[in-house]
Amino acid sequence: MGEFRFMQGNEAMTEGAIAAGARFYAGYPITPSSEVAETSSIRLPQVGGLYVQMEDEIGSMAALIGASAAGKKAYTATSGPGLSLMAENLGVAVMGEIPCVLIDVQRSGPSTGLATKPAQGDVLQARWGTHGDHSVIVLSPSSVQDCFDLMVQAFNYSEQYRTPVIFLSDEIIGHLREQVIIKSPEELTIVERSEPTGDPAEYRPYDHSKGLAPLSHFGSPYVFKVNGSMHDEWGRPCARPDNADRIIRHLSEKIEAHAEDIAITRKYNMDDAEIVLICYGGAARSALSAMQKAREKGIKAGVLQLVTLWPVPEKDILAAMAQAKAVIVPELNLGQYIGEIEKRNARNIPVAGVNRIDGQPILPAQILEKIEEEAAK
Amino acid sequence: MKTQKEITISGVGGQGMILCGTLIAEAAAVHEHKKATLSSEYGVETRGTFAKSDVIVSDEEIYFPDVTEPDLVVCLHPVAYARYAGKIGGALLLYNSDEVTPDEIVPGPQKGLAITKMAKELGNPQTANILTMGAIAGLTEVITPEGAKEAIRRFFKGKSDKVIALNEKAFDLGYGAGCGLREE
Repeated sequence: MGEFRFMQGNEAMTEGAIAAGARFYAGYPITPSSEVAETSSIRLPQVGGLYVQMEDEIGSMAALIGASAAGKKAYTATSGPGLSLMAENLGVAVMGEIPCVLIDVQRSGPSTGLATKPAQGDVLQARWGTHGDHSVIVLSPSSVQDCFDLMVQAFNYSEQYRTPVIFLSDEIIGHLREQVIIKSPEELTIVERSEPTGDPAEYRPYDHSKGLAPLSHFGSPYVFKVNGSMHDEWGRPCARPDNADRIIRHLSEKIEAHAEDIAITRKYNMDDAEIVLICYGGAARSALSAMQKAREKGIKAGVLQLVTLWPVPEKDILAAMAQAKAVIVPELNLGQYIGEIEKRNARNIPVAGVNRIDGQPILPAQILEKIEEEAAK
Repeated sequence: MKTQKEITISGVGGQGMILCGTLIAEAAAVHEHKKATLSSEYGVETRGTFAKSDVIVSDEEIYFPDVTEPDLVVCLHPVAYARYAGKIGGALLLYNSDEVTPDEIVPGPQKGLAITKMAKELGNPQTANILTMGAIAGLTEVITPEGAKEAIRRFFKGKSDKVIALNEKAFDLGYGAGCGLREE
């Protein structure tokens, strides 16, 4: 049985990471993510793990890659400015296919912006923040329970697909305090790395011809080279055009081909919904409240909440678009994810954003107003 | 129909409002098995500028965690009072009468309590936030004294018996005053 606690979102992320088996944290504290660093510095040593406060976010991301290559599940937490600094080494983790989890508790930007206020301005940066063609997994929590449960899921995806996973929270959820059940190990499914077997001289860490190659760890007889440059199956530099083509396609397809397995969504009142709110993260709380108020007024409103933002949960979005009279996308930005919805608008139905960028949460009444406007059309 | 209680505790950074709100919400969730949320707002300056915490307690799922239809707004500092005075509808306003000069602009009922003075008389001005927690419990009955005390003991776990006793006393003092104001 799990333990019932009253906890802050950031604190629950630390507990989720530890429950997932993470034993290494390297980071540079930044509002509104600092409580992840604070609680990790207390909790990791208690479970035999290591917390390192780094000189900056560039070094933090580098340390994460090193720790993961040495065999430890590793994570860090930051906010927008730190995500920008981590972007370069995030690419190294993508290219080296190194599992790790990067938490971004979004605040109002650009730059230092409004450091203590919520925003969802990093949605596209999470997807495309590092350079070059690649795919990435991005999960977005909307409750303190999510902060625990989805952290476990983030590590599982990271190990399963040998990829960095970005845990895209925001100030609303990071600083929210509410009840949470800290699940016990027997209630959780944890994905562990499979170690290579056979002749160490034959170990090829990038030979994915029979599914993703098992990941060795530094110090093991199975020698493992991490190379940010184009490499062959052994990890040796290789500039052949056919090899570059194969690797870049692989980095996308290993995730995109499993998009439906990675997709996590939640549906509320969707059975007969005519006005569909597609939302995620902190703004999902405003959307759910608005949906409830709309239903009280007799308007058939429903919510499709996207927990997985990337890869795009295509099937559920298309199903929602097929039944909707209109779609509303509330976001704490000028309209970032709405582009993904508009791309899939085959029936040409109204798709409208409700956007707020003043450092304040979207009020349910603002969304309700838009619902009523669309319902009256 | 409204099924939840919404309370805003406002002042300036450093007055302990987030702890006050957290302990109320925790008492409601952990000790009284209700749904409860605590959200907060503060500035980058940490101390001296507007800050607040929003507590919502309900028997049902709470979606939006910020207060939109307050039952009670507590203002511990003139900065917070100026922000809320004209815009809280018919909600009850409780102000710290040692800091705030009441204004007729407030549309609903307002009550003053000498929170700073009471905390000083108790021997430690830092107990003002726990005293405020007691006053809120007494005024609104959103949590019971038993649940509140458990949350207080849990928070101060590891501190000396003297510290725990002082904070329990601060709660009782605030609770008594809150009950008195409710019956006024």
